Amino acid sequence: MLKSLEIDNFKSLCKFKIEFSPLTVLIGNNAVGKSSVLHAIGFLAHFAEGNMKEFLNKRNWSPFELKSKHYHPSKRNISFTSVFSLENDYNLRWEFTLTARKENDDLQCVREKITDLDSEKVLLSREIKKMTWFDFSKNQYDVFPEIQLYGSMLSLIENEDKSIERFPHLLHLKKFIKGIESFELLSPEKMKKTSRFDAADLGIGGERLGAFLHSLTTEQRNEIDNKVKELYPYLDKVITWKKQYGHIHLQINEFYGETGSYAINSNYISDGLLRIIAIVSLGALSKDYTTLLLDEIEDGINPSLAADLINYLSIIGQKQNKQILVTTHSPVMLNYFNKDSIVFLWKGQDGITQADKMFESPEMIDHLRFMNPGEVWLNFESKDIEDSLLKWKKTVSGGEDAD
Amino acid sequence: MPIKILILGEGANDVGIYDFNGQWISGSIINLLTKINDKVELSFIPINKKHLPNTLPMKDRPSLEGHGKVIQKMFFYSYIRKMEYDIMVYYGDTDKEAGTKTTKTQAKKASQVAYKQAYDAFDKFDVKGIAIIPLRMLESWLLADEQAFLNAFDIKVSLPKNPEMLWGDKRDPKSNHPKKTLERILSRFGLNSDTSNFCTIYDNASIPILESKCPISFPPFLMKAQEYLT
Repeated sequence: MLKSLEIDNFKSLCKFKIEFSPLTVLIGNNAVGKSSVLHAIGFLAHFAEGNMKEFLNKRNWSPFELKSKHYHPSKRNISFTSVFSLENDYNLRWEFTLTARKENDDLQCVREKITDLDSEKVLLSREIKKMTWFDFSKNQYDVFPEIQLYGSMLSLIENEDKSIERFPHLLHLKKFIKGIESFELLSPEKMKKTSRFDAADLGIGGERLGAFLHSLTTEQRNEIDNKVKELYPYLDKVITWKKQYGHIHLQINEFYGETGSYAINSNYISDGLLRIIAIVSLGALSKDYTTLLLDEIEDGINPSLAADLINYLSIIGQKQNKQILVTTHSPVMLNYFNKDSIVFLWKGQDGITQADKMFESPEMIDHLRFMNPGEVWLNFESKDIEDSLLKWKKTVSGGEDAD
Repeated sequence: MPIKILILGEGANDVGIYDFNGQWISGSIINLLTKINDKVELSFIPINKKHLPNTLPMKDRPSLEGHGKVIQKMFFYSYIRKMEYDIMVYYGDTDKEAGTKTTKTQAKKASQVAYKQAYDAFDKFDVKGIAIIPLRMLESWLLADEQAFLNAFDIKVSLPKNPEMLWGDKRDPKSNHPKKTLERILSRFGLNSDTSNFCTIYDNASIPILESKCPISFPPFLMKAQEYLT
């Protein structure tokens, strides 16, 4: 899993550090940087694959505009350091620095390094005009001149079995990162439209929901139907069928006992129900999907379903070994997350985003004697929570200022 | 040192209210509490109902009920503000639950349930708490002591035998509803049924008489009040 992430000069994230759990929920006021954290993680996956452009194009972002506004415009370097704990007990640190070039309207990687944290062996490194990686089959470093890449050196490692002997750590890391999938823009409007061909997932905005469901086995479809029924008892079945030119059409059948049953075309399905179907269908993603990112999980969902929905996400995470990161503005939803999975974000006086586990300081933990997490968040001023977390940081860092 | 009491009620006549300037105007329950033990000094910290925090009961987990829910909010209010106090006093009516209970047994059961909700909540938050929950409403207890009316207003009145059991249509001026009964008695002597007169009645009331005339809902309050207000 992705254990921690340090970012500098990416949107509002400057000298920013965050730690993750298998299921992490990010909370905080509007515009404190919760979605930026999801964006940054989504960016890692695109960088590893060498398709940063796709990431930017999907969001209509300009490379140069990714830089934080909090620094002087001349500061062009954007840096990431992420720590992963992977299968085979591989603990790796991946660092890279990008330079935003206004003149070329692109991002160029100027430094990259991957280190095995247990042995401190550098597994991959990229500096100006030089690339190096350690080949385990030869037990030596390969050094070669820098190749022009629009992404990470990991994109050069083939996803094939032979790579496992040469670069076991790097291949595991690449597969893990490749499996990070963002569903941050789940939109009922997109889900209502027909989608085409087979789809391995439902798409960042749910635009491939129909095609994804259509590609699943009957068993998987039944599981989805049953889970949605638990949340929406009137559902009989989610139905998909192929129309002309490979377009997949989505509809649901509702059952009302003696009154009868009705078919409802995707255009007329309620937004909330579509989001429920989309979230439930995440459980059918293949094991290649290692990390799921969901923004504003509560959007369109009735609070009475909070417990079931969070429990379901937790089961997906545990049973399928997937890491899940969500953001929420709902104290009701928050109540059902484990206290250790809650990360509170805020902006300091300088406008820079900060984050900390909400219930790490003794003072904040003490609140849980009487209140549940949602009540703490709802009733305490953000400033009180910030002060408590900063005070705790200062204490554990030996009295020095947190930053 | 006065005993510091964090207090919450329902309105102007019982615990009191905050006026438009944010000034607290105390109600008749303050006079009643002060009478319990005239050897101790009491200092009141009234809670503005508007500022009560929110609670979020969780599915499939036990939560407080009825009066207990309000006490939970009182506790949250004090906890969030790190307030210091010795005792928490909660005033609540049982008119909604107990109004329809016509027999003494039913009424007693409803009163026990109401007090249990309150004292379970005090126990949960480990605070010294006094619950004041008259059966029906505040006026039931005010209709208990004839001597108090004589001492207070120099009027001789005939009060109901079982004031706690009074009930009727609130909109009918001739009904046995406690509010209407008290209004009729006071108006006969040109007195208003208002906070000021309620305070005067409690100032002149006898605690033993209140205890004997309101045997269902007064003793559970009195027992805790005598224990803590010493």
